[in-house]
Amino acid sequence: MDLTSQEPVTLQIKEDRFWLYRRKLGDFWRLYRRSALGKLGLIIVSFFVIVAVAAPWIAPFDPFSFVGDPFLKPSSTHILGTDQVGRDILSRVIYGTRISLLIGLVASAMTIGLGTVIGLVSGYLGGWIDNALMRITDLFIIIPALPLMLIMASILGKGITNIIIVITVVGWTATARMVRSQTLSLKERPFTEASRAIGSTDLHTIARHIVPNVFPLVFANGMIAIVDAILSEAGLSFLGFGDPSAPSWGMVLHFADNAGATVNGYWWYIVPPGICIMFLVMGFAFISYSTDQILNPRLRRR
Amino acid sequence: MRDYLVKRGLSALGTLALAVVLNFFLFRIMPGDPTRTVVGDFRVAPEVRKVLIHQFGLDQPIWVQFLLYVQNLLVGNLGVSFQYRGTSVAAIIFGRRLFNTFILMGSSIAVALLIGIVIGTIAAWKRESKFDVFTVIFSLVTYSMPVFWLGMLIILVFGYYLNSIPIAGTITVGLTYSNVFEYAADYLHHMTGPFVTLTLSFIGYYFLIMRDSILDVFTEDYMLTAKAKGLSNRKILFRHAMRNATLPMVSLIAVEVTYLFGGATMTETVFSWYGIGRLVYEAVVMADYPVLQGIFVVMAVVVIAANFLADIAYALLDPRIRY
Amino acid sequence: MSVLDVKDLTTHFFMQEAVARAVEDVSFSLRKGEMLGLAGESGCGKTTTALSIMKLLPPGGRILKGEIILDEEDLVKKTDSEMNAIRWKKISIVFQGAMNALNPVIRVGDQVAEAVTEKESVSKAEAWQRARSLFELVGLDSSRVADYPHEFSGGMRQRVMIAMALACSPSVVIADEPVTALDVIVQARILELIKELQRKLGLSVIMITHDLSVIAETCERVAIMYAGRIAELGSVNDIYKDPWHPYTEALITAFPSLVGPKRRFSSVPGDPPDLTSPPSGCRFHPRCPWQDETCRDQNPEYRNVGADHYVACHHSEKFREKLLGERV
Repeated sequence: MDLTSQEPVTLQIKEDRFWLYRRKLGDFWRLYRRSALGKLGLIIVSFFVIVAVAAPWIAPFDPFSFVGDPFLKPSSTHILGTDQVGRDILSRVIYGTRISLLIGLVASAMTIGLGTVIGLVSGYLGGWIDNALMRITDLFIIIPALPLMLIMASILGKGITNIIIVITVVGWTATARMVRSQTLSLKERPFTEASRAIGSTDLHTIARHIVPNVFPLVFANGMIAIVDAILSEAGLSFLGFGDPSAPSWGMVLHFADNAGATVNGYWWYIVPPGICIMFLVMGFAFISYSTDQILNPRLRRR
Repeated sequence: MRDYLVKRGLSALGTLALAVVLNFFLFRIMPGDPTRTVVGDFRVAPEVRKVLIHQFGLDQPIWVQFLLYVQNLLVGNLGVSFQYRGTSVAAIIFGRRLFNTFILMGSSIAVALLIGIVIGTIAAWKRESKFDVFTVIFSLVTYSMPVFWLGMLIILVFGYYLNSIPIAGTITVGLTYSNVFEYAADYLHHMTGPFVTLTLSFIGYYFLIMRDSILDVFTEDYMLTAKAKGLSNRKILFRHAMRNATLPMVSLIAVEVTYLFGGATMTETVFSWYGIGRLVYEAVVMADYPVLQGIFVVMAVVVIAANFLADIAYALLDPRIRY
Repeated sequence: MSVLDVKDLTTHFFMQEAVARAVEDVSFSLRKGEMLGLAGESGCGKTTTALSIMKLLPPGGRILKGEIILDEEDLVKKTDSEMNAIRWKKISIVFQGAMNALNPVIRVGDQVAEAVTEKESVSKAEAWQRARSLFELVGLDSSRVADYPHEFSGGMRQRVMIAMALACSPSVVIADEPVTALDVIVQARILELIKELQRKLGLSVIMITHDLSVIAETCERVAIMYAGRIAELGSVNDIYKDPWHPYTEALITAFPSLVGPKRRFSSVPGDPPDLTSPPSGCRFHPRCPWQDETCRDQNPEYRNVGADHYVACHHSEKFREKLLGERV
């Protein structure tokens, strides 16, 4: 074997790794398919994604136009009636899917991203960096989430970007802690030492060896992060910090509350947006639950 | 054991210090006029503003302000509220509001924990049975419901349609009571809505955690030993499994106190319950920064203290941590 | 006379994707006062046999056929609650690696005593007293009954397990790899203890281990298991000096001797079979130098070849001829 030429060997390793991932993914998928809850979760989430994408075609009216008298009860024209200024509620709920889903996914992605980076850096570099970062993490874990979010929202103001920032700043801790402990244990493994020994830079070691092993846990955690993000956004919007020009389900409920829907019994205004939030969250929760059952070997059924 | 507690205690104090620092600087990074933190957004004459700035030390360098802040904190001076002109923040927080929130929070967490732990244990034991599937799905459903929406639903169903619970406030306005019991009855009647909401929203989480914990315990060898001894299933479950499974729950409860403040905020707002949670919301809406700062500190202290107590409890309960 | 009779025991594990045929047609008798060894490689079905006898199989495990006769009752037919009355009282088990076999948050005295209070109507104080005397019996300081498991060393924990197993004075004790997790010196002490207790209390013991030297030290008879079946059963003497099964011989010669001529390490080539799809016919045939078509097609009959000596092999005679020839 000619050891002086590098190309073919690297290519072969890359290919092997690809098939390894393919196989691992295939195994995971096979196990996942058995889980009824897991499949249900996927169906629910897919449903909402489709609704979000197809909103302009599905919604009967423009969600911002005044298309009827205010406070109309459900009828064949307005299946969910109209709100306090005469907008069609069903259309608002359908378009709300886009905002709720978008914020949920973006906020959780940033949360996971930030948490993973901090966890990796903290776990891998150790020392005073680790100490400092962990102190800060502890702090953010201890502070009550919603009050902190509200306080930050009051400082930063309303709006979607601010909501995303607020959710990220409050939520990165869980991922950070988990990634850090994984990194710490992976650091002790022989392959890390080997990687350092042959002279790889820290970044290379982290990227090539540690990240792939951390990934499955991060993924499972990610589902929970999405759940938290969606619920947090709903809460913040309900309390009035959302963007009225891009109403999420939480904002629709905010308007409902303002219109006195609760005390006047306008269930068609209250129930649908909430059910949507509930089902979207449930979808991700089911996926998270099933993923957890597979990745956590102790919970696996024999 | 003592070393462990000392270490934990110092760590708690350290976190508290960090929290105070964060609290101070959080409100200073606001864009715009620095006097907003003290005077609020209300329009005041420029001369008055200047006087107030000087009075509150806002013309001093930032680290001096910080020292002043800490100094005030240590004597319990949390500042003066904007919306409730002239009332000290401390008076607002440490009055009826705190009492109401603690009663509500305390009872709902206690009940949710109790039910969650017991049902979680049983569900884990009867894994894959109808009971298990039903309770798991029930928990996942209630966990997925936004707290405020659950509150709205309860108001809708029980307040509007069934007219069985009051939909706002802690007590009926204007009512006079002949004795303590009547008062308590009215109070509890008003508490039903928020109590049920909070309890339902927490129960799913506790249930799932306990169930997971017990399933974990089932994989341990000593469970097989217990069965080999011919002990009854009930004894195995409650004597051997539960004892070990509740240990991680203790640490969890401390962290939960954090969520209690959040959940309470939502619920109290929806039900207009006169507590700290609602205060947070009101203060945010009115931009009453001194109150917010005060609440922040109080919450931090409570949570850090709760964590520390949980550490103690854990050390007492787990014989392996005696050193 | 035998205290425990196992006849044609067959236990399978029904898992999500396949069925593991862990134990098939296992038969043996445990005589009163004897120590019977159950030996074989990891995964050969020794522990499954033990768990089957105690009816402690994990979910997915099922006894498909066979009889387990203890005190003239067939344990296979017993329900779980009926077994609860029998467990620990008539037959108990000492597990291996007592690291986690004891509940870490309950005092050892309580763990020993609870078996007693459950089965017999004695007060808690009496039960604790019994725990103390059991501790002394196994060579532990009786004042330590109030300690927690993590405060004991490995060897001492094993003694606790033994004390616990004797709490209700059972007549049969199963010891599942009782010394595997211990270092050699402690091993010897624990084995000595077990032998002594057996003698003193007249116990009938099944000693399960993969270590033949432990068998040689302690047992009178031994059953060699392979891939869920018994390959050979006989007195320790017969097994060592006069094996009738190629696997038995391979196991014995795998242990290098301190005396005698130097020779190369011998071991059995290949790996133990996957029990979800075991080899056809004789399960040992893929690794056996004597295998032929009969071995591949037919499962050998479990037959009697001498005084209390049984073997399951098609070509024992041929094999022994060569063996005896080599020995001359």
